[in-house]
Amino acid sequence: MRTGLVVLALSLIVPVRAWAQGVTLGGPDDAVQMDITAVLDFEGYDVSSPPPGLVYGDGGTAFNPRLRLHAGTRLGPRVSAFVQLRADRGFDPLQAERDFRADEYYLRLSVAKGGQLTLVAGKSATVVGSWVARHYSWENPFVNAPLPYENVTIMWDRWSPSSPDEFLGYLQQPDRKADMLPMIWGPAYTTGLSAFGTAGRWDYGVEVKNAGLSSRPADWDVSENLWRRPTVSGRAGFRPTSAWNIGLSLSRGHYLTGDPSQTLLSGARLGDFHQTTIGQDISYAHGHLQLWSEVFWSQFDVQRVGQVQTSSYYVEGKYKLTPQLFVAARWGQQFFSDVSGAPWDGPASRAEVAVGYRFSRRLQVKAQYGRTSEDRPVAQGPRLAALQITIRL
Amino acid sequence: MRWKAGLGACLIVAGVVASGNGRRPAAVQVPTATAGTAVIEGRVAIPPRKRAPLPHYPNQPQQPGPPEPPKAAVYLEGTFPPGPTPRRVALGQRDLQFNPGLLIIQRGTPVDFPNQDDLYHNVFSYSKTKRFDLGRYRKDEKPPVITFDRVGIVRLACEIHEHMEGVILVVDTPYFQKTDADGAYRLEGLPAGRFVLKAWVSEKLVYERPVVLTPGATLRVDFPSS
Repeated sequence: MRTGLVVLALSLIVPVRAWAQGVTLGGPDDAVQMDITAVLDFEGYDVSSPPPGLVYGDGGTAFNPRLRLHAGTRLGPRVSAFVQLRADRGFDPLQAERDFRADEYYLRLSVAKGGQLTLVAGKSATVVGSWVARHYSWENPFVNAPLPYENVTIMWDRWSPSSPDEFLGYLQQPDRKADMLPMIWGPAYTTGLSAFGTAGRWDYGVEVKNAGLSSRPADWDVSENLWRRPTVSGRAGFRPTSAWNIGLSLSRGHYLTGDPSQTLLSGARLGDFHQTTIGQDISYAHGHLQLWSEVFWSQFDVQRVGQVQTSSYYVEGKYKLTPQLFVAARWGQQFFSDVSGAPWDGPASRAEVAVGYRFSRRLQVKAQYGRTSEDRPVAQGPRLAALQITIRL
Repeated sequence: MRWKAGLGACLIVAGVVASGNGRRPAAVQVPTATAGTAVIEGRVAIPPRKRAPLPHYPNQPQQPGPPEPPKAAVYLEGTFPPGPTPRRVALGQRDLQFNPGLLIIQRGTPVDFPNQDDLYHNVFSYSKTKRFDLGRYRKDEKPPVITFDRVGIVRLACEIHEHMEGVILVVDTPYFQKTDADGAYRLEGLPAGRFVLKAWVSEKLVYERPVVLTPGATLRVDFPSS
């Protein structure tokens, strides 16, 4: 967090006069330019109890306002700094707590002018998959994330089971959802070094980060785990035509956190237990139609249980009925390998529909309804209805 | 037409300075209605505009080039006899910029939006004057031709490339021209009579001046007047 504040300070020194548009300070040869955008999201939720996905609490209705501030400072022709600040109720809209945080803060160096190589150091979204590139409220046709990015499994990161039976017993503990992990935690704003670029029809991204794809937000800042759980991830993308984009992602890292002394076997370390993920994404766009699909397979090393796997996919489509009105639909499923002859978590499926209207280039309204089905002893509630108003300032 | 201009007498209305400085004007817009012999030339002061830095788009080989320098649109308002249907014009997307960035057309003009880049563009407008969305299309595709049948401002954008901005100014006159980057313009072939000359610089800055044109006369009109 301290690092974020330093970068934030660097970015905000320049732009006192620059709220609405880019501002050039200094001479034309060494221009320092600042670009700030602010986004207001007003979200309303109506969810079942217990709520599905990365929503906690007892369900019911909630209102979640959010202010998002993007500040990008160009410090010369090749170097820039970027900060994304958020003030809201955190990832859980049912929490009645205020949360102010720096979701992203990094320095970016364009090594190659043609975009073949760009280096990023700091806290930034993962390069894995394709949803991250469109996860902001303006670009995302839905209010929430696809199933692989937010369906909470029984995988614990602060506790290791003493036996397979104890591991499967987590299925009976719905009130401990806050201790459990999804396969990928949203955009996974972890901290580290990234490199990405483009070469012809190919693009790539590799990163060394401080926490795994499934790690919770509290572990994303570098000060939280001091690089004890490095994670290496990458994605290679190929565009055969302008319409198609195909990508393959790999990630291997660590997911356990907290104090291991109480839970790990003698001599074991947090870093001995890996999460390995393989993903493939494909997207198509033409005219008023956009389609996306991703499939992930992930394996967790669980002490005294062994390696357990889960796989998940989603298919999503968006179509613009008029210049300002669009509709979207999404279907996703998640499956689990067997432990002691039964799936270690309940297979889940989710169907979602959304409709959105853009009044202008600054104002958008979206409504979403989704139903989740889970085959587990204590299932998450099925319903999530959400309304989101986005204002770009 | 210039030899005719030399034959005419000059009558200037109040507030308008008539002169011929011999400077080479910007490209001439050939009127489509009944052509006359009057000429208006001059210069529009175009204030410098601060632009946000060009973004870098990850995962695409082509990056934005510089946008067209700010220019103004000058047009003559009045009552004119109906002319032929305006010809189709093109407003392309090249180097991730609208090309031209400012287009002035007569009401009823069909406009093509060819994609001249090797990647997708998605041209749209939420302006009340004309709402449309062409969807995503490639270089070798022909998106629908849009006919602009209402007078006003049409703000263009690209859904994929946020920095791209363009303007179509739809006017109800066959006599118009875009200035060059220095603000110079020259309207030729104008009919005689009383009209209003307007210079559109931005939605917040539009100059106008009443003018009286006589056959063969060359009128100089600068905006703002010195």
